[in-house]
Amino acid sequence: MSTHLDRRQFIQGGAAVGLTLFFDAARSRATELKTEGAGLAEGLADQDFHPNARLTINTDGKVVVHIEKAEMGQGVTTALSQIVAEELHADWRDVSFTLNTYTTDQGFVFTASSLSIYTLFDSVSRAAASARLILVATAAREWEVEASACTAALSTVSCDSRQLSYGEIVKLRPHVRTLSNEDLAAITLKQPRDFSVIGQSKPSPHHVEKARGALMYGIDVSLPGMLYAKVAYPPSRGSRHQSVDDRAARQVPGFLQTVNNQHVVAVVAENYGAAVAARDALTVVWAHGPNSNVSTNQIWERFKQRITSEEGRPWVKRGDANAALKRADKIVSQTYATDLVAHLQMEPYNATADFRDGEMHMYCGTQYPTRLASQIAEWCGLDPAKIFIHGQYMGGGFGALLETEWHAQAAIIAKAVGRPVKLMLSREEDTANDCFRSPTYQKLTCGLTSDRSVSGWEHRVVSAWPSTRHSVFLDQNGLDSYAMSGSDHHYAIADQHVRAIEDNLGPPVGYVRGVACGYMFFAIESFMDEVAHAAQQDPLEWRLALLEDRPRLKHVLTRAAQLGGWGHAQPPNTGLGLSAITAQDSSHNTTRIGACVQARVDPPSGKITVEKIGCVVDCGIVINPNGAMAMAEGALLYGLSIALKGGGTLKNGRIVERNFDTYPVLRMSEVPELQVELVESTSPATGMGEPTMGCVAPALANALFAAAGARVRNLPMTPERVKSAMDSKESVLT
Amino acid sequence: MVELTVNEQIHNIEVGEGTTLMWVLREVLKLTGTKFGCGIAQCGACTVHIDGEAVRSCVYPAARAAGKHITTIEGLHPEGRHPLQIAWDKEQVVQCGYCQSGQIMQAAALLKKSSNPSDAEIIRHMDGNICRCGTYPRIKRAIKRAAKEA
Repeated sequence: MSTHLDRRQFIQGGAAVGLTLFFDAARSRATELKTEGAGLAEGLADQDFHPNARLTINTDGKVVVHIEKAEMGQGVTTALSQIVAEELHADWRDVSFTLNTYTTDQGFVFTASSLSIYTLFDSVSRAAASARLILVATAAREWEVEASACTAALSTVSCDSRQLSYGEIVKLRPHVRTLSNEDLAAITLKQPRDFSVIGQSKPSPHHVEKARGALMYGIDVSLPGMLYAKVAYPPSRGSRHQSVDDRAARQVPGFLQTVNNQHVVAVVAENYGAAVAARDALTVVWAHGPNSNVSTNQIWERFKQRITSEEGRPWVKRGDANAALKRADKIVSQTYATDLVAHLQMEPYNATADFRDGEMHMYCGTQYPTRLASQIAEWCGLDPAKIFIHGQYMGGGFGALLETEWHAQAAIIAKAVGRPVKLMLSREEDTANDCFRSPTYQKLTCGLTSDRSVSGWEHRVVSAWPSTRHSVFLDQNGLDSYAMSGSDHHYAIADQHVRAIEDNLGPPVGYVRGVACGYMFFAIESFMDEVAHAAQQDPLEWRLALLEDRPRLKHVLTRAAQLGGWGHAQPPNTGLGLSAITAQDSSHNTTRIGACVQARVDPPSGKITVEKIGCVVDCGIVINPNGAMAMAEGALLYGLSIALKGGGTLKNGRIVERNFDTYPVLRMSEVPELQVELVESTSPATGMGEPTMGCVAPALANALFAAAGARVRNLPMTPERVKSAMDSKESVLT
Repeated sequence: MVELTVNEQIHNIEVGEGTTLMWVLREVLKLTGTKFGCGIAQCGACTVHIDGEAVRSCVYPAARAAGKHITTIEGLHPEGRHPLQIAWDKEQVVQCGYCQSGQIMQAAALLKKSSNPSDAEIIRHMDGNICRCGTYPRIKRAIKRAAKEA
């Protein structure tokens, strides 16, 4: 985990890991599938055909797709299955999937950054196509004809009038061949115009199960003889327990054991209620960590100091921004601040751990099994080969489940008690121990010449970096692209300087859906509007002129403006705002999004009503239109929730708002009309799980300005902040 | 010992003081379709019916449910084909799905009272149920479809 990879290597590395994994042809997953029961696929028998680790075909012609990615509602199981069906030329009705059990020999596995389809599309296509070639070759051998004389369609190979179904071919025991990377690369894949499964809105089988309450999530796991654990969490992150007195806890009926080691203080009891009562009866003396007294105000004071200094490290350096700004006739400069954000996935953190016969079996949702396994190996002193992570379906993830400490605690407790242990966090514990989106403080400066062109752009960003803790995700220069993504925007500005200023005063930060896109584009796209107004230009025309050589981004913005009614007169206190963003990152996995938000403000209260979001998305080839639309809608509303509501405050190193009564999230009454379009495209598929979240906040801030002439430069845009901005026609920072 | 009638089946269960109905349903009866989300009746993931009314089982004392008819998502329809469940599938509502049992139970209570609810009625009735995936527009469509096709 100490290797540093740059973004490009990292993404390519991900694909390479995929190929190694897929073409370990000797590996049979049949046993694993029989014992797992997490997926929808039935157990497989030994006479099944295992062309590679991506899929299995049985003698009835049923195809099982093996999924290493976490399914948290984003539809990756369906999308990967469709890619397999496409190149296998399988009948969709024969295709099902199962979640893999993770073992460390599978390499680096994680589900994040909307990368699954972007990194796997090609390798999964080739895995399926190579399996098809073997099936065709087997049929050809049986018929003593050339393989080139045969065709495969709908799970059947044909030659003249002869036909063999895939199931019949499997009975002929096809020879599994391990293909080299060269062999794989030589396979000719379908052209998008020939797709018959990709591009179809295939439904997930989970829709029916979930509507019946029948799908099992991590929190629903129950093992024979299972006990319940509760952890004594520190009053602030980073505090360590010094001493533990469990005399009172021992009196609680159902109490079984206290587990106290360097990684955890916990009690184990016969039922959940007893575990809570016993944990609450513990007396723990804590040694406070370095940030245990930190409050939100201290963070803002420090961030404000740091942004004025020449600190930080260059993230984008193009031309000479200083010289260009000096040449400018007019300087526009503004600061933007965004509060910390909690993940608040619906299913609170939980894990069930079972240590038996020297093996650790984990039953939990996780986005990052590789890290979980390495943490368990380290904490429990186990051989990594003895760790099995049975990934469960997840009640949301949003990046929360990239963190692994709370799951690893379940493992260390289970090892101590020698029986299966279920560890569930309450909502308050989940939020208190969440790794938040960092608060950010950003300053943007842009020079304008008298002929209204841009002369110099400077952007400074003060924030904590999630990848400082997850160092494998730092780039080769030790910078966190996840904290800075989006500041390398697509506007044609010759002289740009972006500085990344890391500050870790607050509690540990993590990756929240959209990550940097969520705050970076709020600042950039709000500022772009302010610059357009300073140049007395229409915000749409201004952007389009700077996107002259970016036709795809230009198109989504233009179309979104049309959808939103840009240029049309608006009712009183109502305005339209635009944004154009590239996410999940600006150089590789780039989904282009244009948005036009219509919002109304109530002047006396400052309350915003979002009437409509028009959103146009270009994510290249669309695997599953309905699934992509669901992601676009869902991420828009996730972004709207962050734009309007919530935002945490810290007191004594701890978040104050720990449940939905004090940390409000978007509800049905606040949902605007959504009008979403996906661009038809044959470009490579890019991510859809997160990207649209980033377009909402800036377009809303711009709509608010159009509606009321007030500029809110803070997230969330609470009524108090809106009111304050309206009263002063200027935002009051923090 | 408390006698609970859940999905028309009678269970005699030892419940501790303060034990909520949700924990009994999930951890004792293993009816895990009812979900834990917040524990303070703010999110609606734990919604069940008691004598036909939607209640938040995470704050409802199990002992108080004695003698009443409790219905969970597993008992909403014998084949899992309540008009709402069918509509949920047709509208492809769910993403992660975790909140959806509660959403459907909440909506089912609405349709009992109002066979053809307006948008405003739906919003008023459903506003206590949180969905973090953002499936709200599809939930609304599915309720209207269920009302029409029931």
